[in-house]
Amino acid sequence: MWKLICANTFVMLRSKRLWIGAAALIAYDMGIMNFTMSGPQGPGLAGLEARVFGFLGLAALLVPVVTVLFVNTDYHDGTIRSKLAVGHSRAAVYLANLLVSAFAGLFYFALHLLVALPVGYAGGGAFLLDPGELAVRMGASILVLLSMTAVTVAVSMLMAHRAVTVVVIIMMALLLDGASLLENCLAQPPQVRDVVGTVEVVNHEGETVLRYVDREGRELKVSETEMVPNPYYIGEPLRAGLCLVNDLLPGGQIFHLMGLTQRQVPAWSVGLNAGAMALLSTALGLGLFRRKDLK
Amino acid sequence: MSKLLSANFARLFRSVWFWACGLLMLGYSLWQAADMLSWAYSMWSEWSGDFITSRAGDFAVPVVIVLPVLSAMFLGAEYHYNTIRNKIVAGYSRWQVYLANLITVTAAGLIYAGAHVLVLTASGFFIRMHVWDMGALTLRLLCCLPFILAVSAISTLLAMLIRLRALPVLVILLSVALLWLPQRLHMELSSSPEMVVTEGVEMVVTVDDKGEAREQIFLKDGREISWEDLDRVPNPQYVGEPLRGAYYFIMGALPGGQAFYLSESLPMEEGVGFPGMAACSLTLAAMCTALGLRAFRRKDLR
Repeated sequence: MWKLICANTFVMLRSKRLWIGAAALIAYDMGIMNFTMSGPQGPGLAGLEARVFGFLGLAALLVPVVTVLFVNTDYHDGTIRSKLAVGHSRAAVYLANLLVSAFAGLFYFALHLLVALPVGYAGGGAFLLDPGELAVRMGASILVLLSMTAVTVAVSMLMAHRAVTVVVIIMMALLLDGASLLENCLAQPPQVRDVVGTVEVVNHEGETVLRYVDREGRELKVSETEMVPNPYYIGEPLRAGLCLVNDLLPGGQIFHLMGLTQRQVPAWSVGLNAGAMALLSTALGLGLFRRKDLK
Repeated sequence: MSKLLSANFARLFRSVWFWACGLLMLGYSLWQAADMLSWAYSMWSEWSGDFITSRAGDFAVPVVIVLPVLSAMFLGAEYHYNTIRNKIVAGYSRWQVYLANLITVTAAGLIYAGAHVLVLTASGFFIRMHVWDMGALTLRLLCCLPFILAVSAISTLLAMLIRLRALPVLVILLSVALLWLPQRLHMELSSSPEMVVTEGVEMVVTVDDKGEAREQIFLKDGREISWEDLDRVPNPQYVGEPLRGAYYFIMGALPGGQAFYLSESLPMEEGVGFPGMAACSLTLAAMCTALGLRAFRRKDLR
């Protein structure tokens, strides 16, 4: 298997896609490209943490694309059958692809830290989290990267068709948008005030207060309104199920680490879920790959 | 060439990608139709008029992504299975092969647009307040035709000349960039030429008994002043000429901006206007086709 890993690493390092991705990452970190992600607005990260963990949003597309193109090369060039013909087992071929793809993801993360941190410090930024929490978040981020890589490798090893790149892009877009949608739904409060509209008013003390108005625009006193059950609130047991889905899938894990969710999930929990997802997808991918007909 | 077109259309209608993209477009059209019906029947809407024309161009935004992806996968299959060489060997010239592919991709775009209009029109029958204006609808759809042609020409150019497995990734990135650019330019153009100085004043919004909101501005000494009395300074973020004109031209000339104008997601303020957009689209389509034909003639089809 060592020879497989060396060969794969050689192919990865010589491929243009790895270095084009690295150039795109550097341009992003230097602030040349300013991507915005729509998602639930929660207590977002501040300080240098926002810059460090904001990488995960870009990595959610960059790492899977590089991975799928790398793995699909084996099918396109027919080298996967050659590797099996010389005596390597299917498990060795699968795990070698997974390892090298994981190395590529870690390479991008390291490159991001090398570029983003000096740029952030030069801009006057500083870390606001304590070192212990920061270390746990970093570890969780690495596990989330591994989780994304494992899912992508599983899909790429099982689908030989050249359309797998589009499938992976759609899959990651759905994971991210789905996570955003789920978190927005889960953020609905259990009760809402039974009013038709609200207006913000600055009173004579200079404070911005919320006033309630009825359908004709007449202001209502707070005592005239009542709290009613929110029809959009998701109750148990569906709530627990959706939280679990969002915590297990890479999309939700990315939003948690970027601080874009209202639900506060500890970083160590996100890391554990990501690790579990990586193991689960690898086990499933490996099991199915062993049975796959490599025509 | 009719045989080429027949073969292309037969393959198109059997292609999973055509139907998958069609399903996506249909889902988007149904979502827009549902939004239109929801607005028509909302408790706040008592407006009676043409609901459909303003939404006729809604298909334009997803088409900027869907058509290049369809083209990349559908036309890219010809390189993958080497059928393009078979067509040349059978006696067809390269320009015939290229134009047949362009016509096929354009037809796919027209089919998606037609399906969208059908869904909207069918939904229009469920809106009592809708006033049919076939003239305006026809004019809007005519404005969409050059746009579809331009997107098809760009998609065909990329698919016929780039023989990479990463082509779908490239076209998706290009499409996202084409859609992101006009939004960014619009944000830059939204800055006003001057900004008011609000330092040292207090703004209070009150709601009277009739429910009407009134804004009052007070100085620190308690005197009330009007909005016009506030000091104004030039806004450093304001984009002046000639850059302003260039931005509007870029928004109107490229398919991304045109998609937002046709779907009325961005207001047509000082832009090139629909006739100008049509001219730009036709010019772009002609340039891409001419470039594609020339480059494809020289391409090594090994």
